[in-house]
Amino acid sequence: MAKEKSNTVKIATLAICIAVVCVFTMVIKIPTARGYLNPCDVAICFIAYTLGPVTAGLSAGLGTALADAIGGYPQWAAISFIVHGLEGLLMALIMSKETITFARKLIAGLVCMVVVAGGYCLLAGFFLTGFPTAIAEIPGNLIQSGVGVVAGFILSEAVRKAYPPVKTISW
Amino acid sequence: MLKVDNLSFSYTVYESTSNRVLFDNVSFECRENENILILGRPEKGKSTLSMILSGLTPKYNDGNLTGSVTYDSLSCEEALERMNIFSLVPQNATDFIITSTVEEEVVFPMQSLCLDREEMKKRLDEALSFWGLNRYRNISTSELSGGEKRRLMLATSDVVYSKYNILDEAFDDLDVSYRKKLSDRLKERKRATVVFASHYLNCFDSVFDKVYILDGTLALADNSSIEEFSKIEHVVFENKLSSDELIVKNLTFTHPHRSVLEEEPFKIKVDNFSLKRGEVITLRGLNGSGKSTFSSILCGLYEKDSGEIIYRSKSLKKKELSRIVGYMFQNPDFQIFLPTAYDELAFALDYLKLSSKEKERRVTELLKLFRLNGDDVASLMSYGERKRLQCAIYYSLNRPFYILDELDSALDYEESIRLIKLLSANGAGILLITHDEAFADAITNHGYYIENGVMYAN
Amino acid sequence: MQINTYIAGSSLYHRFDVRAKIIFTILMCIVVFFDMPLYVHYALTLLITLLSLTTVKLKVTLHNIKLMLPVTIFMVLFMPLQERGGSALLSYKSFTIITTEGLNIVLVLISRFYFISMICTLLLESSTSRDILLALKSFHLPDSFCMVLSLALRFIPSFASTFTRIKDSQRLRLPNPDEEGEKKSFTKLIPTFTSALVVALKSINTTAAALDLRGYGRSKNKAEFYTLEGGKKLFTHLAISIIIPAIFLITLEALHG
Repeated sequence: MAKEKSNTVKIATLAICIAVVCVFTMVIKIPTARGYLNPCDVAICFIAYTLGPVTAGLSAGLGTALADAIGGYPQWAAISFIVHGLEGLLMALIMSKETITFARKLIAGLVCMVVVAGGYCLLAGFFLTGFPTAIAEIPGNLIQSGVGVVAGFILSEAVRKAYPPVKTISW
Repeated sequence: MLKVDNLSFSYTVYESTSNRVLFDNVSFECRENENILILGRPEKGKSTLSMILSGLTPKYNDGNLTGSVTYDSLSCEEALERMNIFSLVPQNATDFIITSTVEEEVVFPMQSLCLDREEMKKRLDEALSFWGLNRYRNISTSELSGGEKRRLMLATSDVVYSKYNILDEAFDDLDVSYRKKLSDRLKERKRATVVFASHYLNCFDSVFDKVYILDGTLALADNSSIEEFSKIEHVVFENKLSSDELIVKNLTFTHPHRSVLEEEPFKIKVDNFSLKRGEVITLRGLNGSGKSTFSSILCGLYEKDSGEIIYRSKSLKKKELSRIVGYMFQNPDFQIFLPTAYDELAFALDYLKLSSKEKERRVTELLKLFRLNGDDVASLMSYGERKRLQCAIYYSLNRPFYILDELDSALDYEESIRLIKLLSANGAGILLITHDEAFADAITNHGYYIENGVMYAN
Repeated sequence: MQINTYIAGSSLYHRFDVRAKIIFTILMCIVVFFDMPLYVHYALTLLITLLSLTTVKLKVTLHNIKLMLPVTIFMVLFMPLQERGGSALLSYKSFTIITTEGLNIVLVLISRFYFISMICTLLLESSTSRDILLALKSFHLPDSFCMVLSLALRFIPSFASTFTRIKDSQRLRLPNPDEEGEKKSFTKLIPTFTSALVVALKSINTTAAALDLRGYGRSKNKAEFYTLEGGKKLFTHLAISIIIPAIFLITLEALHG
């Protein structure tokens, strides 16, 4: 029984998702051997898994862009918006079916890694830092998005079990 | 006239067949310029009723509603169109804030009403100065204290100039001077007001034309039933007091104050504090006086600036404190993350490394003790149930001391006392933080109170 | 958590209309990609630094530069990989380390990166977020979208502090909180993440109710309390924001020709 979502609920959902992505990007730093990972992809994966393509794309793009702008790196905001927005949109489209098989998750994960690593490489290479530096970022981005996606799937399951109404939130 | 006719409501729990019937047969009327008080214990449906009167439930909170609510013969379903007619001051101020600064928050509803700019400015200045928020105009809403947020909600509701006002526990977080301001304003009877409260306060005298009690249904109350409602039995905790004591000496702490105003940083000063195992004492103080800060230091979250915290003749460091003192946070949702109540308790017992049979037995015992259903989805349980779950988790931790933050505002008196008995019977020392004077007096003579960061013994 | 990028001040750039500032920033970021001699790139770099010094003073300017350093150092380090086929500038025995063309390209990249970073940061430091949102609205961004952005900005600081409190309370419910605090790994963070997401999701309905209560969507044309000044001042500023890049491009054309 899907209730027609009122405007206010849609606005509230999108705003909260943007804030979630932003906080995951800015506030949380998971230390690893190579420095810090930021789990923005964890949040994006969760939103793509649970909510619809529009919400996922917009919240991923705007959340990361805001995090860049607020954190002191506004030059990256536009690139983050495009790259992560695309990441959220594509992942949500892949996972828009009712039951999500392992194959779909795998494809979504690979798409995420390619979009993030490739997107940053291309856009940063052309517009900001030149290709050698951009290419050097690829391994780091692959690891971050790869780990992020796996963690995101685990988290999505955990949240679904802890709070079943999450299934009705998507729009 | 606000006319409520035969209202009955039950929450629909997600994908479950059980329905929690909150109340039925609720009927009352409120004429223009009349003041009505509805008293009710926690969990009896006051906030739900206030949301129903504002047309927000069941629109935003699933449930079955029968009966009718009409304002001057108009239904309240479309709250949007009825902004001039009624307004709500919600109990949970934080959740209802939608902008980033105090000024923007008060301006927002006026923009929706399409007032012209001069009028907006006039009402804004009026409301902000009445509620003492003028200095906070450009402060971020995330930095306000509980009392300031409450005043912000009152100001935001004031500027709408609505005919009927619904105040849900609005008096609660306010200090004495603002309570007086609010009750004086109600006495002026410029607008009709329905006030929901869980305690009958002194400032209520001669304010209300009618008083009701909400308990499954709505009943008109007279002086004797109000007294009965407010009465609480004196309790004696028969615990053996151990000589193990938690002692605090000469503690000071400076709280990093909010960034925008050039005010004195907030200092906490505790010369002498002691809590014995098995003892139950209270800590009172107004909102923002330092109760939560002191508790955070005591449980090892913040590092004190100076002083000592001593247990068993040893001066404890921040890390060691977290094992000795269990601080039960006010919001139980911060600690719940597993699917069912059973899972949560099993997780809590994990560290004991019990056999699965023994663990099952213990969890079942805990569930029974705290009156919980193991299959219930933890996040969907009622607030009171989540609070009991949190209590059960802390109970299984077996800490020597517990700090219970505002337990009595979430649960019934009897339930609160029962839980305090359970926790202290195991030999734990209990520090109960509360701002309910009557409750505090009923359960113990010993206690402390904090005023502006300085602690005094009762 | 401080999410305010605005730094109060009364410099000329502070008082420059925010809409003109946005247009100026975008146009100049485009201009900087045109082909121009190295000295022109560095003239731009100097000019933007001067603008920063007059707008936000030395300490903030230095802080902004500090944030750019890591990437800049990387770009310098990877210089050997640029334009391997060019004329050797620096070589060891017969192995070319850096070519002239490589050096040139990297110098251009650094200047461009510096310029773009600085001008974007200046935009955020000289205008309040409220003004920027108002500017977006006047650029005909839909009202619902602006509502979403302002609501998101309201939530970011409180989610950040809620997250910290959840992390603390999850730690304190463990039997040995002092030991658990030492080991940080993802599995230890799952409870915190789960709890935080549930708390965030649960607040959706109440937020929507609040919007409803405060009359959002009540009428098509709601009143505006906060407005951006229009009139002659706006016209002048808009003109300046377009003329400066235009003059620049014309000068470049002249130089080439």
